Amino acid sequence: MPKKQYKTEEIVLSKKSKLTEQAYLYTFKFKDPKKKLKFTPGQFVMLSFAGVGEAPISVASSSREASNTFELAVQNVGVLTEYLKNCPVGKVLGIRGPYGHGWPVDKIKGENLIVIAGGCGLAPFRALIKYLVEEKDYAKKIQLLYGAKDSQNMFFKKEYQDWAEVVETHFALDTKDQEVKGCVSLDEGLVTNLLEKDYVERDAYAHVCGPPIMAKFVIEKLLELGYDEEKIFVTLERRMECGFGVCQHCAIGPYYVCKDGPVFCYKKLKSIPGIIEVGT
Amino acid sequence: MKTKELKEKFSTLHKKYEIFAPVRREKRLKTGYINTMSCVEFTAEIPEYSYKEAFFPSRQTMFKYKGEKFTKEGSLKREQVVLGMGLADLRALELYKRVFAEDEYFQNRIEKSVVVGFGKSPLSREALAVLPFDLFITQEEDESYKFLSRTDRGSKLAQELALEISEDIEESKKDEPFPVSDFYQQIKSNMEGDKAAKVFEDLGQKCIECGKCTMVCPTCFCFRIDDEQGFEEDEGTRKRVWDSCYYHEFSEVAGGHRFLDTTKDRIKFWYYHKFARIPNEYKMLGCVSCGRCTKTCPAGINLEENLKNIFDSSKEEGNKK
Repeated sequence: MPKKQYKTEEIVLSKKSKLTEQAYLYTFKFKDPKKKLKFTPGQFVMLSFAGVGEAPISVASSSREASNTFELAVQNVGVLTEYLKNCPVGKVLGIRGPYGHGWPVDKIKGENLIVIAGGCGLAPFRALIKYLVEEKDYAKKIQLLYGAKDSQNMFFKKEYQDWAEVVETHFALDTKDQEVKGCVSLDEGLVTNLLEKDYVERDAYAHVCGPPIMAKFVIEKLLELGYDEEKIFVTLERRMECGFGVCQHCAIGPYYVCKDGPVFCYKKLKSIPGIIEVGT
Repeated sequence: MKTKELKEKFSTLHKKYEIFAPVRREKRLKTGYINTMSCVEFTAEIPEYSYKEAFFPSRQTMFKYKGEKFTKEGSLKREQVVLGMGLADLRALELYKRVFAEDEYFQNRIEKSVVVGFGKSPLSREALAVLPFDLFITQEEDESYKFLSRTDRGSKLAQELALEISEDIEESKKDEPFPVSDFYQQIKSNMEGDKAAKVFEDLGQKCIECGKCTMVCPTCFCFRIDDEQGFEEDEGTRKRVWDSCYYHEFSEVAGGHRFLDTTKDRIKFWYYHKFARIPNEYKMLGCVSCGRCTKTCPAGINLEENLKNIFDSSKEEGNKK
């Protein structure tokens, strides 16, 4: 039976707050007050801009209750994001979705979790972290290992203190330009180095999001440190046009990043050549 | 019925329906929408272009926008007759029916289409029973024509044209009507195991990435979604446009990174899709052996040869050990 797969709902940009020089947190609400976005952490929507096109963006707000308003954290990297940056509050855009499979929230219940993010790779984690902060005792110990160029390029800086009660946060900056509030430690260097520290839980789920090269080195390190490959999850970035596994742009081996991902268990990915090649 | 009479019977069809059919232009048999039946050729020859344009247009308008408001577009206004599809093209249509099972644009076109197949006798009734046609014209050995109907829509069209149905074809009830043969099972497993690296290394040197094979292929269905501005600044259309996995932008993300970065990667992606991903997903092969890709390739790449090499690649590996 045919479905309205491309039906786009109208949304209004209601707030813009600067995250870094190149990124904003955008708050949207559906034009129709009855409409709500129901999603799970790590899922994405296709954001639509008439005359420009569409782009897949992960949802950054809390997923605990379906809501008429939602947030997207967007780094200004391409054509649509440039338009978005220049959008005035009140502008009407569109979304369809949510699509895909997000972080395995059910699996981490009562377990330790380390979240490893690089740069704007923290964006797809915000929904998960918010969920865990709101559901306080959901997981056992939660550690965030976050790497960025310098403090100016860190996402969600104002929120670390709010997360601190539930999330133990450690940062690695290429350049340690200034102190950052709300973290337990702040080192200079790569996020991969943090993994070796004694304070990092070894019996834990590991969730990874960052540039491909970072993901590769992080997973390599995780495996070296003895993490179970079934407990390593990583989110992938690909070009997407449809969002539901037809257009072929995001196909990797037998999977579609849009439909079967964007979050994948490493065990599933390791047999596909050229995706994350550990040890090369 | 002979050719002259057949042409007469169909001569006024364009008055009631949109017609998509094979036509010869400058000696080359192509397909397309036509205005008059006189240019239609009834032939079992495989046209250079496939029939996919009739069901999955190269530029499908999905919405029009004015300001921020999107309005759905893209429904067919008139019913269409898609004329002359051979067995390979009908098989490709069956694949599309599976791929676009939930797609409102494709389904709208299917609902408004009468599919008329064409083939030379003898034809196995079992093979015909699994193919998605409404009416089928067979060319008999004595150059006469017979008409087979598979659906009510087919019978209705026959009635309208005063054609005598010689036989009703019953729809097959088989669960998996298009089994993948052992040869292709081996190819699938070699693609999945990345056994044919050498084959793709060589193809990467040969292929010029023009994308012609993907355009003429009846099963290729990659697409992208483009916004096209109209005359006014704030109005335009959103279109679904055929794309080709041979183009380097195919895998490009914001910031410029390309996940399929070399010719070799992209040609392998094409083979993987046809011979591994489609069989896994849709329980049939992603190639209908129409031969169009080989015929159209300006670099002389031969699909059949490559398949043989991919098939052999696992044997070679065994010999090395």
